[in-house]
Amino acid sequence: MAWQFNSNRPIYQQIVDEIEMRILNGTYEMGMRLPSVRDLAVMAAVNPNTMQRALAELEEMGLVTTQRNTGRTVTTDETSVSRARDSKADLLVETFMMQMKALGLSRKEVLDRLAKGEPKEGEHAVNS
Amino acid sequence: MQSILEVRALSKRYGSTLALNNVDLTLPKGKIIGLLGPNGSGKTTLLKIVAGLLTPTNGIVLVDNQPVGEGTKALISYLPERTYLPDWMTVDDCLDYFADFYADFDMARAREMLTRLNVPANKRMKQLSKGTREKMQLVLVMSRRAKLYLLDEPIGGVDPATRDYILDTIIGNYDNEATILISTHLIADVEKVLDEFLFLKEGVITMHDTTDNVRETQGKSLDELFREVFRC
Amino acid sequence: MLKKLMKHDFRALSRTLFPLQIGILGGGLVATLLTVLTIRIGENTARSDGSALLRALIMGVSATMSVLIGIAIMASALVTLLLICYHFYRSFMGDEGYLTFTLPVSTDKLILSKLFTGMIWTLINAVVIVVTLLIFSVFGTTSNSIANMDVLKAIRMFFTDVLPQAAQYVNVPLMIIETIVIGILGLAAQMLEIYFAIVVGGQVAKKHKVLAAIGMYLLINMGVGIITTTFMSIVTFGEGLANIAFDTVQEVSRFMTSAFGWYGVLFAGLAVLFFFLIRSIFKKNLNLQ
Repeated sequence: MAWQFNSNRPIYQQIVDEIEMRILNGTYEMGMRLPSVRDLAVMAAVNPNTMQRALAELEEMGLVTTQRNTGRTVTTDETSVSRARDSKADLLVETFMMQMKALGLSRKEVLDRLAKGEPKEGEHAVNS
Repeated sequence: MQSILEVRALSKRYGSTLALNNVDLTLPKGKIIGLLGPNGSGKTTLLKIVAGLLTPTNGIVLVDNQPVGEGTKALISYLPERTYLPDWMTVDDCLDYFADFYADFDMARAREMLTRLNVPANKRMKQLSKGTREKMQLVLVMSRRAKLYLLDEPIGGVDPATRDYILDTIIGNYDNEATILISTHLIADVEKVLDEFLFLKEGVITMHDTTDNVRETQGKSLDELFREVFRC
Repeated sequence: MLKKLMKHDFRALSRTLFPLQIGILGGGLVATLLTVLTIRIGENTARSDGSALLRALIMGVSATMSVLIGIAIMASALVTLLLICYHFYRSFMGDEGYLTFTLPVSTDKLILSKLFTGMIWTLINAVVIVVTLLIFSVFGTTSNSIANMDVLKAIRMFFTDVLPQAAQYVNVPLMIIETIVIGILGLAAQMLEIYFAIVVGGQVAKKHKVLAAIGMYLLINMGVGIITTTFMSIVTFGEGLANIAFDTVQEVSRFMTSAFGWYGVLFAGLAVLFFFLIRSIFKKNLNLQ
C-alpha cells in the first residue's frame, strides 16, 4: 500500500515524518534492519532518490545508522530516540496550542479540557 | 553535474505548425524527470527526436555528449505510446530480439518480471491483450540497463491497478546512475516519483525545476501548479 | 550486427515464405501426377476406340492443368516478392519502425540486411520454381515411362554438346560467372528500386502509402528505363556495337564479352544509387508517424 502524502510539503520531509513515527511508536524496533532504499521506495511508491534523501535526514537526526555490511538499521541509542520523541511531542503540543488559541481558548481553558479527558462520543474532534 | 541530455535551440516544424519552438534543455544524470504538458504540447515530438525517430528542423541534440545516432541508441531505452512488437513474435522471440541487439539487456530480470505477470513464454503477441502487450513492452524497456529511459505516456489510458504496477516497475528497476524522462499529462499519479519536472506548453519549455522546490517555495503540489499554469 | 539483423529478418520472412515454397513444390507434384494420369487415361481411351470427344476433353483438361500450373508458379513468384516488400514496409514504415529505428545499428546495415535477405529469398524462390518445372517436364509429360526421356536427353545434350561447342567461341566458365554476377547485380538493383519506391511512397503519402509506393515504382521504373536506354546506347555506340545483328556466334560472343558487361556496370550503378537514396532519406528525413 502506497503511503499517503499531502500536497503542500516536500515529499522527503513527509517520509522523514512517517519513518520517524514508525520508529517512535515501535513499528520499526530499535536495532531493526531497514529494507533497502529501493524496497522502501517501492513500498512508499516514491522516487528512490527521494527515499535516499529522507534516510540521510533520519541519519542526521540520529534515528538511523548505516553500517558497511548490514545496511541501514534503526538506532539502538535510546537517548536519540527519546530526544526525537521529545521534540516531536513539543512540536505537536505547540501546534495544538496554536490551534486552540486560534479557536479563542485560553491556556487555562485548554488545560481544564485536557484534564476532563478524552472527548465523549458524539462530540466531533476538529481535524486540521 | 554531468548531463545525460543536452538540447540546444531545438525546433521541429510539421508543415505550418511548430511542434517544438527553440527548446533549450539540460538533463542531469541520475534523476527521474517528468515531461509534463497537455496533449499536443510537443512531448512525443521531443522524445521521438531524442530517440532518433524524427529529424529536427533545427537545433542540436546530444545524448551523453554524442549526437543522436547508432551510439546514442545503445544508451537509450525508449517506450513509445504504441505497441510496436510484431504480431507474430512470441514472448521468447521478443526477449531474444532484445538480447541480440542490446548489450545492456538483462534477460534474467525480464524473465522474472514476465513470470510475475503470468505471461507464458510461447504466447504470440497477437494472442495477448492490449494491456498485457503494453506491460510486456514496459518489461522489455525496463530490463535494459540504459543510461537514459524515455517513457512516452506509460500510464495513459490504463486502470489504477495497472498504473501502480507500471510505477512499481519503473521505481523497482531504476538505478540511480540512470535518468528517466517520463512524459505524461497525469501529474497527480507520477509526481511522487519525480525529482524534477519540465512544463511544456505549445512547444516551449515554460518551467524546469525540482518537485521539492515547488512544494517548499510555493507550498503546493505539482498537480496544483500544473492546473494553474495550464488553466484553459 | 548485420548477422543478427539478417537472422531476425530471415526468421520473419521464413514464417510466410517457407510454407509458400513448400506449397509450390507440393502443388507442382500434385499437378504433375494429375497430368500424367490424364494423359494415360486419354491414351487408354484412344486405344480402346473410345469416343473422340472424351479424348479431346481429357487432353483439354491436361492442357488447362499445365497452364494453371504456369500461372500458379508465376503468381507464387509475385507473392514471394510482395511478401518481401511487405516485410520491408512493416519494418520501416509501420509501427514496427519504432523498434527498427531505435536499434543501435547503422542505417547501412538496416538496409543491407533487408536487401540480402530479400535477394536470398528471391533466389530460393527461383530455385524452387526451376525444380518444380523440371519435375513437371521430366515426369509430367510422358506416358511411355515414368520419366520423359526426351527431356532428360535434352538436358544431357546441353552439357555434352552445347557447352563444348560454345567453348570454341567463348570462355564458358567466365561467361557463367559473368552471367551470375550480372544477374545478382540486376536483382540487387531491382530490389533496391522497389525498396526505394516504398520509402518514397511512405514519404509523400500520409494515408495510402501502399498505393503511393506502387505509383512511385512505376514512375521510378520509367526513369530507370530512360537511364538504361541512354546508357546502353552510349556504350554500344562507343564500343561500335550499334549495328550488331546477332547473326553469327562471333557476334553474340562479342556482345557477351563487351556490352553484357556494361549491364553489370549499369546495375551496380543503379543499386548504389538507390542504396544511397534510401540511406539519405532514413538519415536526414526520417519522420516516423
